[in-house]
Amino acid sequence: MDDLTAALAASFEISNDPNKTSAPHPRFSQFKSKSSKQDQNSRRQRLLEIQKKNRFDYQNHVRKLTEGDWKDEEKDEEKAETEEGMDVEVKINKPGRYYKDQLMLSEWLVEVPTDFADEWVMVLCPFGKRNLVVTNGNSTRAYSRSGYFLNSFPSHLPGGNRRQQTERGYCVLDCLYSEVDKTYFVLDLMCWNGHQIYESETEFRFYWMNEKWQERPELMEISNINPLKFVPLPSFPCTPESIASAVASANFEIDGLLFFHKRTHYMIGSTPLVVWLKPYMLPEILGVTVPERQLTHQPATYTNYANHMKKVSEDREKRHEERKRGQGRRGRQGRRSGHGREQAMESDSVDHRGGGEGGKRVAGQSVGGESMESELSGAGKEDGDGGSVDIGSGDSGQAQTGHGSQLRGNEVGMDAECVPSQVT
Amino acid sequence: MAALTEQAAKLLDFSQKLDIHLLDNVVSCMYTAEGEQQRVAQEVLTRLKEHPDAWTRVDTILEFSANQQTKYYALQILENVIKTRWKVLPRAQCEGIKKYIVGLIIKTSSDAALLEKEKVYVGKLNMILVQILKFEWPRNWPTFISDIVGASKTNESLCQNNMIILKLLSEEVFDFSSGQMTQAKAKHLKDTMCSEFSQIFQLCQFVMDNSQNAPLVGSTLETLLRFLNWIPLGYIFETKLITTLIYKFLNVPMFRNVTMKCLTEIAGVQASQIYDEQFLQLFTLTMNQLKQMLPAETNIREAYQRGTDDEQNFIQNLSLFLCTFLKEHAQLVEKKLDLHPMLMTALHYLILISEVEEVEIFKICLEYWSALAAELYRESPFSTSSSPLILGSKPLQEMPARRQLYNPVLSKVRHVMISRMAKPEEVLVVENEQGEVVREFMKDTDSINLYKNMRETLVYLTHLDYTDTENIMTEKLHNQVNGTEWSWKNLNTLCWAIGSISGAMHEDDEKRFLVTVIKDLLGLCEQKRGKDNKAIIASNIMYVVGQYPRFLRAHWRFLKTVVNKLFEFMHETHDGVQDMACDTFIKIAQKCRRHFVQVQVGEVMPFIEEILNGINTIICDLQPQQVHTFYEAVGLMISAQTDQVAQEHLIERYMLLPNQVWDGIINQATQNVEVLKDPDAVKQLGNILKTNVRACKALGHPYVVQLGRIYLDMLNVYKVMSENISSAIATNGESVTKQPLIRSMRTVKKETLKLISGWVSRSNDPQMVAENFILPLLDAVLLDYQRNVPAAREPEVLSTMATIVNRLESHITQSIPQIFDAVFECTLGMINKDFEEFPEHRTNFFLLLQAVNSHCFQALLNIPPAQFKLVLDSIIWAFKHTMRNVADTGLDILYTLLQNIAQEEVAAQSFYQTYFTDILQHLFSVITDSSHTAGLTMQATILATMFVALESGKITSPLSPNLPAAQNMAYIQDFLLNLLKTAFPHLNEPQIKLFIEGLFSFDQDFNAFKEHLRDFLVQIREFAGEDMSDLFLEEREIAIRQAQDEKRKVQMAVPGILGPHEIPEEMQD
Repeated sequence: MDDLTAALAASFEISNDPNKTSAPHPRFSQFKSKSSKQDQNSRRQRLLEIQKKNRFDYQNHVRKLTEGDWKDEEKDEEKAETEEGMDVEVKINKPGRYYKDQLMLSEWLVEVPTDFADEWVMVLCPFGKRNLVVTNGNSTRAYSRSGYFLNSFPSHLPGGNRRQQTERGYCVLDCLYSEVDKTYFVLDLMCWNGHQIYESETEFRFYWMNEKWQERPELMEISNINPLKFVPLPSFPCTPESIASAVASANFEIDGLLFFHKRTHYMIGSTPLVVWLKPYMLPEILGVTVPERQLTHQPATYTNYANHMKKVSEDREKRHEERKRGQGRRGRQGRRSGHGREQAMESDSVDHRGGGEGGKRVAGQSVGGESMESELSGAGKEDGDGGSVDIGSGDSGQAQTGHGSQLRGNEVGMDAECVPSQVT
Repeated sequence: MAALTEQAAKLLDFSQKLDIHLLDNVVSCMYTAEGEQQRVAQEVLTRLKEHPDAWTRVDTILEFSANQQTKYYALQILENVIKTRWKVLPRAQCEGIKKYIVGLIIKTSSDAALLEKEKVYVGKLNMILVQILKFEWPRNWPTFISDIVGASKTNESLCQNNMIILKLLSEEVFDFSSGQMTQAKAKHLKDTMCSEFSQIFQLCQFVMDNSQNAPLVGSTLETLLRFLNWIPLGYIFETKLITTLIYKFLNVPMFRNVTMKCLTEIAGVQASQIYDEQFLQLFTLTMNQLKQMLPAETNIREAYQRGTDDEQNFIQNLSLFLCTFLKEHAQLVEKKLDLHPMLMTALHYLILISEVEEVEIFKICLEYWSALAAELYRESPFSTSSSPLILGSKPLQEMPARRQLYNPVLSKVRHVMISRMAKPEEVLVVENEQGEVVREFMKDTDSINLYKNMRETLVYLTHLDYTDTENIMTEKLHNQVNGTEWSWKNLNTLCWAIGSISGAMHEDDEKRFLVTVIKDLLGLCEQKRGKDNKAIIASNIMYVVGQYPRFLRAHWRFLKTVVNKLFEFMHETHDGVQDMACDTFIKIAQKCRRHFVQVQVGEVMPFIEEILNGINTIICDLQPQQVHTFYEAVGLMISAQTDQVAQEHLIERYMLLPNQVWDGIINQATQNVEVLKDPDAVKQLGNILKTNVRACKALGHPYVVQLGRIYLDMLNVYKVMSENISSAIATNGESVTKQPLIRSMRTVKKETLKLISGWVSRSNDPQMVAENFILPLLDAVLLDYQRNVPAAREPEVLSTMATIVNRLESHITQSIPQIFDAVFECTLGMINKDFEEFPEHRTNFFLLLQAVNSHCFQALLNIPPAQFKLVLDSIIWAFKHTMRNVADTGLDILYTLLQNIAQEEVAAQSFYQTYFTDILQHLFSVITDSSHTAGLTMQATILATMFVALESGKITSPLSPNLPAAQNMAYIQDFLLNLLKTAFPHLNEPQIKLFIEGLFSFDQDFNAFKEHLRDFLVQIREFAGEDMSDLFLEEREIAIRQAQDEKRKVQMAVPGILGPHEIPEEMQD
């Protein structure tokens, strides 16, 4: 059962974006992810390199978004189909069809880059729904991440309402919408008044955004033409002091912190060049202290690394005890129920290990429930957890083919953390 | 054009000789011309047809017309007159028509070439003859059968047509007689036909033995087929009929289909043991022939695909024969050891046919497999596989003999069921009246019914041998993984099958099985590339998991992981994944709710706390509709918290987010009410109310904490919205209601009412509700309803009031006058002009009346007489509707009213005096109206109640202004006689008197009363020539419902037969 649970938690996914924020942070997850992706840092390097070569007609794309004209998408569809499913480790995604998948999404910050303080900027995010906002010369329209049309209203954005005589410009924005505050917090700017800046670096996009807002402060006021506020989110340097003071002086409840690489373009989809942390993760990962009031959403099960490890070993003890008792019970039951069941159980446990290319090798290692038991009890220290680690190694053959062993070394520490912290 | 109209006048002038040429012209105009001309022609012909003397022209037309279509038209005139006015025509005329038609038939059908050429024409003539027979035979035409048999011997072509006439007659008398004729008449015709059948049979036999004329033999077989289900059994089993059919005709391609149908009819006969030998002979001979015709190794599935229509029909007929025979007589074959191989062959054929990709044929086979599996299970409800629960069983030796015999076949049936399991649920995307796109789960589609039947069969089969089911499924799953059977369709089908047997295995076996299944599916998901593939596999995994709540409840950590994974999928933008995640989440919440509010082993707090903690993040990428589903699911979990304080605390946190937005808007609106005209604000309010509706649905009564919090503000918003809508309509006219902003405002109103009635109907403290919630509601809603223009009145106001009355019963009695004052007259004004406008107001208005009548009758008694008359008038108005639900409600109200009033000594007498005859008159007007036959049972019930009251002397005040109370009965009889005489002048007085007397004599025996009433209706309609099959509609519906209830009762006892989501809550968790 535990193996099954671990498999479900760790390797069951539809989109295989590494470190995706919809799943638990790999560091604090109870299950080790099975994916054999490259580490975050080297993917960042690769992306920055291919970013230079990437060519995509964003101007045409902006036209599609603002005019709602997707006619030639039909043709592209076939191409897109064939590209999908190719397991390229690092690539720059094309924007989605229609209004779906148009936003740049973050990964969890797993490995802190060495140039973090110099090359990154940080944005504090309030709670809100991620929206794509587009103006088309008549009105302002908002779409959900999945492309669902949410709302249409006037705004002071260029092309955002009918009354603007002079401006025929279009805008495309990446926003966080807070229903409670009736505010769109602007995260990023992709197109302003007809000028697309998808292929500009973060620093420039942010600079431009601030410039534009200074030019029209009326965007931040509620009025008949602007019933919902547009407020740009400020960015901060990524030194520990700066982060700490920003968090400490925030007068709203922080959902999380987004870190942007200064040199990244606006890329569609999940990218390691934008990363995400919850406030309560800051002390652990960045060594930054966080005021108590920003920790309300910290899960009750959350502890720091040391405590986490302590709990893990306690749990392991406990589980070991329980298994022992359970095993005894099951054993008796098995004998009573006859040969068929015993066999089924045996093949069952072999199955856990054999589910993959590494099957034979691992199956040879352990036969039946008994040896699993001893393996468990023997592994008192570091990385000796039961099922989940086993699965990891069962698959590691595949993983190692791709990347240097250095990487895996890097991840060993993590392996150990990914031990189930609770046991039923 | 003018010419045409002028000509029409000539045609309709019956003093002139008919200008046949002119008529031909008009008819061809009708068929070939276009536009206006055709319309005029049609009108002329219709008028001519409706003319009472039109039939006198028929003979001339038939004789002289050169146009086939004109002849056909003449026959329509004739048929019309026979059906509706035969009895009022002078006898001589009847004889004339009869002779004329017979002569015409003989003339046309005696010549084989002519018969073939004029097929349609003769067909119509035949039909007319049968219509005549229904009136004339046997009384006025006792020799008909011998006449027709005798005539048949003169020539083969005539004989062939006579066979067709006999077939039609059989159909009319035996298949379609119910409701078309009075019961007595139908019985008389059947008896006559049976007693004279030997002549017909001899004729058939003669043809079959001697004729070389293929069309004649074909017709004879067709005719015989119609006879087989009613003729005395001796003709079938004590003659050489069976052998003739099998040896002579079964293997002739031209006749094999009709022969197979005949054999199926015979196989379906339920006879006593004396014919056992014959049944065995039927089986063995047919099987032997069959092996020659269709070798047992044929791939029927492929053969069917390539086959001609005729061949495909043969497969279908064969499946019918095998299923019918085996269902009725397999036990006979089972007793003969030497016939077992043949039985196996038959089953083998059936398996092959079950693989044919034609769903209708599959349904035939399924019915048999289902019956077989159920029977074998009931005989001995134990599994063949060893089970840990039955200690020391030695399976194979103890297996019942029948099961041993069928065992190899059953495994193949399992294969079939698993390989073609139907789709268990269907979702329809529709736009609702507010213009929002919503998803609806369909309940009763063909595919879902097929799924239910297949699941039932597979569950029985699993009970019989769960190891085998498991092995087949596991093997097929491996074929998905290794790619040999991989396809989306195959995977879906397999997972539906896996999900279908939830609960059928012992819990331990189920666990072991599921662990392997899920593991394999997870492996498959990892192995396949591309989001499309992964999304399909993921939804199948979630489907399987959702089907096994027992497994989930037993494994908390797994359950929690599943739910967390669903939360993850709620951010996945791939098509359909978010919907799948939300649907699975609510499915799981329904069945495992308790586990989310308890602190599970190894956890520091209940999981619900974690959900509420992260709710912002979980739902941030969902669409509004999905958010609503999510809230309902979480509400279900909270509803499982039994500690009131803890529950209230959870509800507060649960509604925190919507309440924040709500408060924001309300605060703004307090400063400036114009905010409530802002489209965005209105839309948000609508959304928040929808969330509340779902929360209330899930939480039930405890939702009161949240309701109390927003109640008064909500009612104020309601008032403001309503005023906004009214003034918009006042300034811009009714078309403004189509505008998006006004539509969203109406949504706010409707959702408010839905929320309140939803909660009241779930509340459990009527007094508290009445004291705290009702007055502000009435203040806010009622006056507004009354003052509004009709187009802006929400029908939900009425249904909400009805719900409140139904739930609060006597606690609301004192408010009834207030409610009636506000809604009664103004609604009546909207619906009393016709039967169609404002259908929802209509339905709900009467539902409210019904509620008040049943629960607050005292309030009705206390209203002033003028208003009471209005109430009674509206009840009568209600049951005159053709909208069936409204009419039913009306009758129901009337019945309850009569019962209630009978309890009130004083009020009752003046009630009877004022309304008794009125009601009677109106009741008869609907009873005799064919568009109201659906309500016959209730109409009859009310009538019977009224007659009982009258007869038993309960009515002590005089009903007639001139006669004493003692003569009430005589007065009413007289009253009815006059009433019916005027309404139906074609019925004679004794007939009506007999009917009225019958009403009194049968009023104690309800069924007899109803039959009596029904026979009277047939008499009325015979004149009108209407279709009468609807008279039995209701009985059929009841019979079907009863059969379903019975079945469900039986099913409840077998584990797994009801799906995990059909089992009532108290039996679970």
